[in-house]
Amino acid sequence: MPHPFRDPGTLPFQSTSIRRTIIACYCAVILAATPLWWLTTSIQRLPLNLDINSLHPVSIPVHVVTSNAHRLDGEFRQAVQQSLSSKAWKAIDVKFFDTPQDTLVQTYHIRPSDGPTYVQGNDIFYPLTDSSTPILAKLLVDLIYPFTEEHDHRHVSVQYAPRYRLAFSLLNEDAADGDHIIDWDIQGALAKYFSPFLKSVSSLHNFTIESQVQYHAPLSVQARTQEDGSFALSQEDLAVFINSAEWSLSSSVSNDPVLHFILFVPSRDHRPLRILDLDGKPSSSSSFILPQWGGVVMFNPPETQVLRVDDLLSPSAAFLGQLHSLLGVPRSPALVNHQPREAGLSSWQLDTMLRKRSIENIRDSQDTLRSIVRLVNQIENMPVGEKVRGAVDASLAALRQLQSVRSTKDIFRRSADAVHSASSAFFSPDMLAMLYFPAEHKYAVYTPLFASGLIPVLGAVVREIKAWKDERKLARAKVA
Amino acid sequence: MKSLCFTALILSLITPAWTTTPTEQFYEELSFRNLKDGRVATRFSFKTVLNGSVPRDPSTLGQEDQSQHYRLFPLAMGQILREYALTELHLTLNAGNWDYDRWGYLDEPSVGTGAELWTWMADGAPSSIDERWEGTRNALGGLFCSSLGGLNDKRTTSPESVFRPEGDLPDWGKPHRLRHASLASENVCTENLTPFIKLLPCKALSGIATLLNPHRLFDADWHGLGVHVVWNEHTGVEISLVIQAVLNPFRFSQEKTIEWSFNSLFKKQVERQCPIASASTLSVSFPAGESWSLEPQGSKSEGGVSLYDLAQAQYPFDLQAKASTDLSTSVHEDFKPPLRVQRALNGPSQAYGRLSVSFSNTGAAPVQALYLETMPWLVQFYLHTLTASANGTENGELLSHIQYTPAVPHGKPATVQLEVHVPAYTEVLLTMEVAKSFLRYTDHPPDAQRGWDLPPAVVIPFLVEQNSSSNAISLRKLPRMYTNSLLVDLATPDFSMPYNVIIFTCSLIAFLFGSVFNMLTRNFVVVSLKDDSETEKP
Repeated sequence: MPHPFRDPGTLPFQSTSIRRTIIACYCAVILAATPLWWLTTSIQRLPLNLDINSLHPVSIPVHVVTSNAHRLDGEFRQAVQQSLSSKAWKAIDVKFFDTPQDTLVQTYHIRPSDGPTYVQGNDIFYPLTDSSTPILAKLLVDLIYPFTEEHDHRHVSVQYAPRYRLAFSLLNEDAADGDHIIDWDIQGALAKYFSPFLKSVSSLHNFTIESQVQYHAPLSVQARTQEDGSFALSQEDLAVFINSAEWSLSSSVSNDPVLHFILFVPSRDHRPLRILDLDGKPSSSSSFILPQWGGVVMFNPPETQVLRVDDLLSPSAAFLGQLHSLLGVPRSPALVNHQPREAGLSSWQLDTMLRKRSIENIRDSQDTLRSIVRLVNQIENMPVGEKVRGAVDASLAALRQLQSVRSTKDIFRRSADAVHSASSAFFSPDMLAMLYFPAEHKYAVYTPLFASGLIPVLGAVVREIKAWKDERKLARAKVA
Repeated sequence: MKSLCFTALILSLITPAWTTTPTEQFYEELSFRNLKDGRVATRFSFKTVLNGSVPRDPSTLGQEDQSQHYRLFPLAMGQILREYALTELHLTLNAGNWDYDRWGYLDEPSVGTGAELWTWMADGAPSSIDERWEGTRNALGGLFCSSLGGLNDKRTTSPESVFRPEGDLPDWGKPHRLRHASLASENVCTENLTPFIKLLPCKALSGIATLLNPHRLFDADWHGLGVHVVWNEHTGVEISLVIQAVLNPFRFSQEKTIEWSFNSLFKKQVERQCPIASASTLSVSFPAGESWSLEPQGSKSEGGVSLYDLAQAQYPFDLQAKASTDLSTSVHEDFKPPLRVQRALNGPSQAYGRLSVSFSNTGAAPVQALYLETMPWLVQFYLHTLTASANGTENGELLSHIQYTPAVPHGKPATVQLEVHVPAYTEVLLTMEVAKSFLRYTDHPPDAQRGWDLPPAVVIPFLVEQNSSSNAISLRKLPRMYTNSLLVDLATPDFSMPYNVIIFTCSLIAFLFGSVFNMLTRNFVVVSLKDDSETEKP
């Protein structure tokens, strides 16, 4: 009996080869599209050309030229090197010579002196008669790097910044009680007492100066009444002295770190106001420093309403001392009993500061770079863009250049560049971009589409392979 | 005369040595105005003048600035003004709608609902004006704990003919430009008042600022604060910090008499004098025809206004005011607005609507009004549908000088500026069809919301005065008025839906894909049922 329909197997599109071609085409399209999909959905993570282990400590060369007159032996050299190696993270590489070697490298000369010991420029004048090498070694170390480990850990000095804002505030605790300071000639005082210092550190920092007067600055702590009728603040009170809720001290417009200097005038009911030392006895000092923040001077005013430049002498001296500590200015070694007066800073102090800042900057930039690498390795969703990589490269380049420069100023400049680039990479907002779109969300979106689309394709592929195998088996059986 | 000149010359030669910093003066002023509905409008004004100072020239922005040394001027504001070289700045944060009909106007023109910021600054800086504008609003937003960052490019316009500088503009050879933005949804609250008080030389610890009790101020029917910085050629940079509130004494009084005192309004009194104020004044004014008794008496009283000099007052100072007659029912003529403006957005649909603005003039003189509508691109105008009608009859001649800047979707707002002539005893109605935008899913704010607030429109009325002798017509400009803000409801998706939608869409795509794929690859076989049943049966 003839079949009423045509056999579908004879239709052209029902042939096995065409069907297999169609399936192959689907697979080809899917395979070809996969890289595109991968490319458009992956996070840009450029490789950082940075091996953490390659960040080795940088050494800063210092030369010491000794005169033959002193006959300083190996013991002296060893003492200096040993003393320095325990400080400054072993970053100072001190070498001894009889004659000056390299004019670029920071060089200290030890010269004979007729009178007492003194320091001029970077030269130590040491009496020939005194042959005590330990004392001379200590003096030399104090000039090269006077900061102790303890000093490094107390964190009084602020982190390095190319520009600071110095904010001077005259705070009257309560002006409405009738006895208060209306005005102060801070500009005159700054010009007279501060300018030489600020000028001499201009190679390290720039400063923006501002001042304000406040007439109501209530204390958040209660001043204690003393037996003699005066008032006092204990050391614990000083820790919470700054009443930031009611004093408007903060600076809002720039990112430069602010150092605050506060001249606090207690109200008439709280005068005289003193500071107690740790034993609870009135301290001779009327000022205190707040590490990395600024300084405060208590000022019990004479009968005056306007402070002239001369009235501001002692507060200014206190502020200047606090600024020295905040910026990490080294003190003169105790041994030096006679020092030629120089305006502002002496050159050895400046060199020591440059050296200290360089060492800190190098350490900071290396730490930051390490943290970046660790962070990027830890968080796989974190994008690493061109900007971040560029900043990391710039920081590394600056660190690499450090090996080739010798003068203190050049080393400092490179180290400042390195720390600036490293922190701009670390705080780059680009690195946060994709953190809010976790992988789970992606799968939640993809699965309904891809799973249900791919299953028929896979099914068809499997079926065809099976059919093809059966065919081959059949064909082989036929041949056999 | 000669000797006087000589002394002046000598003085002017000597004084600069003393006054290296500009001298500063601080004035505080408190005023009360009794309104006809029994409420009390109060206005605190704190003005600091930096004598002889000049705003920063923008061309010096790249260079080191001079040191800033202030005694009374708020340092935080000084920093912002100099950092962005602003010549003039006006920031107001208000809550509530100012009722011109009952409360009158002329106190302080900036009463629009929400936040409004406008600045005049000169060109010629290394950074563009828009960059400085962005920095300014971010800095002010940070200073006042306010979301001024929302005053972004989508809200910023430059309607220079409406917001004229209120002070002088220095001539640096570069043009000055205006930037203006308002955000109706930004409300004022305690967190804005605290930083505001910190800018005052006497904070809230002495002087009239003692009365600034946030519990009472923010409980008022209308309240707002403002910061205005202008430069006057003859004095210098002036900053005015202003707080206004419309308080309702009835709510706080136990007896049903019309009386108020500092204590009843603010729960506070002025305890001490601000020691550095060059002048502290208090003024109390009454509607005409009412008689009030005040305790203590003012030092001067003229034209229904009692004046007090708080420098000579007895402290603690409290003012008691008591009405001895019934309240009158008319607005004080001086405070009566020349126009009544009402604006509404009608239409039930989420796609289209109609904007209608009515100007009613109840006076006997015609009024010319400059109308400025700034509309974020959320609502788009069909300008060809703009019609004007006077008392119901269409009359296109009432409108003139129409300027229209279309909106840029997702970018700039649209502005319509036009002049309306409102004849005496007439209500002029403007209508225009608008389209409401369909927003992208990311354009919606992440939090729950009631709709989109549209900023108030601004009207500047001009009184048309006819000179009887020469028949010449002159226009007298009056302070600007604000319309009410509007709320628009845009089509909003159900935000719990995106994943469901994604899954539905994916399933549909997968279904279509699967069907097509199966059709293409299926092996069709004809099955003959009859034959099969016969052969398969045993």
